[in-house]
Amino acid sequence: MGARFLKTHSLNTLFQNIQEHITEYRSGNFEKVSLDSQDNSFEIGSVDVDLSILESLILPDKDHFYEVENSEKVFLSFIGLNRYQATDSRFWSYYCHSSTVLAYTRSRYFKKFTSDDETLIEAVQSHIFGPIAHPRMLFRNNSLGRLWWNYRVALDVDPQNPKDILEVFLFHTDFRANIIERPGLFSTNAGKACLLFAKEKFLEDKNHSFFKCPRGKDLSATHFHYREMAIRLNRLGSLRNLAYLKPEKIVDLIKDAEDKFNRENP
Amino acid sequence: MRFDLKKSFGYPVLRKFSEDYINSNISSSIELIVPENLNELCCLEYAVLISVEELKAALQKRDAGLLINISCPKTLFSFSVILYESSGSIQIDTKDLRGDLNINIELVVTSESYNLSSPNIHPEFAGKDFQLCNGDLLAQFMPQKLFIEREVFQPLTSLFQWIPSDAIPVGEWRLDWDDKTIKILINPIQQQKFNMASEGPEGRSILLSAIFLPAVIKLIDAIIRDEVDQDDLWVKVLLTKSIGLGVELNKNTNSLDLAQKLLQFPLSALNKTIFKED
Repeated sequence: MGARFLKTHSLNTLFQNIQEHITEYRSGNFEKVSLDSQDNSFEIGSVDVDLSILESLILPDKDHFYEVENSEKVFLSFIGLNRYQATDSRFWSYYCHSSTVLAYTRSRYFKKFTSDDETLIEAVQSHIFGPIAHPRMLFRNNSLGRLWWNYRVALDVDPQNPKDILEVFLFHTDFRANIIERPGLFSTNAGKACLLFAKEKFLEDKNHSFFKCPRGKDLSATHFHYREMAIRLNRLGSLRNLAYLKPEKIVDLIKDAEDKFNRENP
Repeated sequence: MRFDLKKSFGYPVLRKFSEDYINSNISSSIELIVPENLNELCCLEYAVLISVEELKAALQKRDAGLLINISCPKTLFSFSVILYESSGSIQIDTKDLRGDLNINIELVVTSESYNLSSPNIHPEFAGKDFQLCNGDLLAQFMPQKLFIEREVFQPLTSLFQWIPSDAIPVGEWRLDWDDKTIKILINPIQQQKFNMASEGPEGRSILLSAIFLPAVIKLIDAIIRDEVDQDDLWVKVLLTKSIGLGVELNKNTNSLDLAQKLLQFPLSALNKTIFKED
């Protein structure tokens, strides 16, 4: 089955009329709106959609969101989807209005979708439409798009073992946010190096202390955590040409920075 | 490496507006040739000019190479390559690119070590030679930004939205661009007439002259007067299309001329369809 994109006017109409469809978003579906009609959406042949995989998204269980599993499922659902298409709000919004994904989104963001109308409308704007307001919202909030991009990043870092990278990338929400919400990291090999280094830390330390760091104003580090890595990497970026260096070389430089940190903070 | 004129490397780095070198020049040109079918490869053509003989020789001898770094924040795509020719081309998969495309070109040391010396180095460096290592920066070209979006390859008129409004009398229209998109507000009765008109070439050419031409003139003027959000898609598309026509918008831009070019000369369309020119 070819992938479908909402037509721009349908996307805009839906976005402007969230209040009108509040019941559908809260507990119903959009079958009556017939988004798959030619008036509302169009098909492209270059992307195949395996709905059976999409329908097998694992619903969250308490605090376990199955992000690794679901990221892989979403990526595998859309065969041939390229980066250009995967930044398109018309694409993600179409599938976020399907019954399966709506059910997943309600479950994933349960508190917001069971809250008052105002909170619900904000949640729909963020998690169903996502990228309309700002492209970065797609990476951060779109319930489906963010999962696809998780896998895309992991695949870029390690094409042979993307799942190993996903485990690390999604281990801590704030760690993921610190990586993916800084597209500048991906303008060189620095983003890849961060994840490769984090993978090493993940495997060598059962306590995963690298992923535990203070939040808020007091960022004085007691150990070498991911925020400290980011600070040191920023400094490295002004001294070394990260666009020239291979990811493995940047990992070595981060290790040097870690050694220096440990010497300074015995 | 980020282009920052205030940054000092402790040794001379050739940069435009920098005084590390005297009597010297550096420039680059970039052109991205994008196929109409966005599923194909696009071609990035580059050419650099370095006036410092020693740096030119380093490139020729492959002691130094041109590091071309392309990055696209919207698709998290980046690509770096070292090339040794002062002009050439690179092919990139268009499907990896969308939105802003940042292109940085630098001359970097590619041999294990390189001894930098040149009579053009500013005397403040006291006539020293500099022993540089692999990866060290020798010259940095001005960063360039391109923009790729499907709207760039579609007619400019596809950026406009017709918004029916009972508040607008029949026979009048308003233009609005405050909410990230360009809207033409018209009475619903007028819209029906326009819908019918846009089905044929005659009606489309009339709309081009009566609505789109004055609207585009107004939008160009708004950009020139800095009354718009530069991050809005329509602004980027209009600027990119203008650059494609060899026009960089500034206070001296003739908005009437540019609007006619951007709309492929609405009067010509009238000549063909209404005035029945051969």
